[in-house]
Amino acid sequence: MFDLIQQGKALPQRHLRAGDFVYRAGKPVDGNLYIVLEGVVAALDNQEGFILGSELEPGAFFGDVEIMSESEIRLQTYKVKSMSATLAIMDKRAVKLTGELHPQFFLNLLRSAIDNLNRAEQYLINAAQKTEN
Amino acid sequence: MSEAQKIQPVRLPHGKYVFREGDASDGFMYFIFAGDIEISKSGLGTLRTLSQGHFFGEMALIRATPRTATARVLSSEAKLGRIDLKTFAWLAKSNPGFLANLIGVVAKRAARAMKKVYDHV
Repeated sequence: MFDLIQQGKALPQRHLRAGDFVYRAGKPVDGNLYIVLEGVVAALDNQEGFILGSELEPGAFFGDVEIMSESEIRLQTYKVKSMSATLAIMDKRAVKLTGELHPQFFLNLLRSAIDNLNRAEQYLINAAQKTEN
Repeated sequence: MSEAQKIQPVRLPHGKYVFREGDASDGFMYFIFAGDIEISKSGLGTLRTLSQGHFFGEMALIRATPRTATARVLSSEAKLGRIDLKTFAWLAKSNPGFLANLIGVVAKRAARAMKKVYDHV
């Protein structure tokens, strides 16, 4: 059974405190995907408020879309919501190796890309409707 | 019969809908062998035009949700191949490159949409 937390424990880690930014939208991509090992991380909206329902708990990952699409900049801001957080840092080579060994991981990445696409398109539809009204 | 032979051929004339936004998922994703397919979505219009070698319909296959966009034949006709979840799972397991390629394409689509959101803000 594929366990992303176990995989992450073998990777370099980053320790953060409440309110620390993991990264900000618009900043250059550092080439890494992040796995939450401890704590809670959430995405921010344009007013820098936490997006309800975007909380990522241990076992979840983020930053994958920028890595897999080879984007030059981060497209979302992530911040620590809990008292502290520990993240595993997975570079693209490790992503590829893990996916080749565990197709379930690649499947999770595909689901994540689909969900990010749907969320972004829904935002754009809502924005267009607001403009029309 | 091999799994590869389970790619079901589909031939559609110009203007025909492969599926429409909101349709219940038929559980298939599609590969384009020939022709052009327009992908559109209400509220956003035409999202992209796909041609030979491209794929679409993966969301309904992976997420088992209703179709989130409309796919229509733009060329005089289109030759497609469709696969169900079982064949998809076999391809994913036997050929990680297939999944990696799929992720790359969907991630690029997601990144383009997320960039528009970022630029909109």
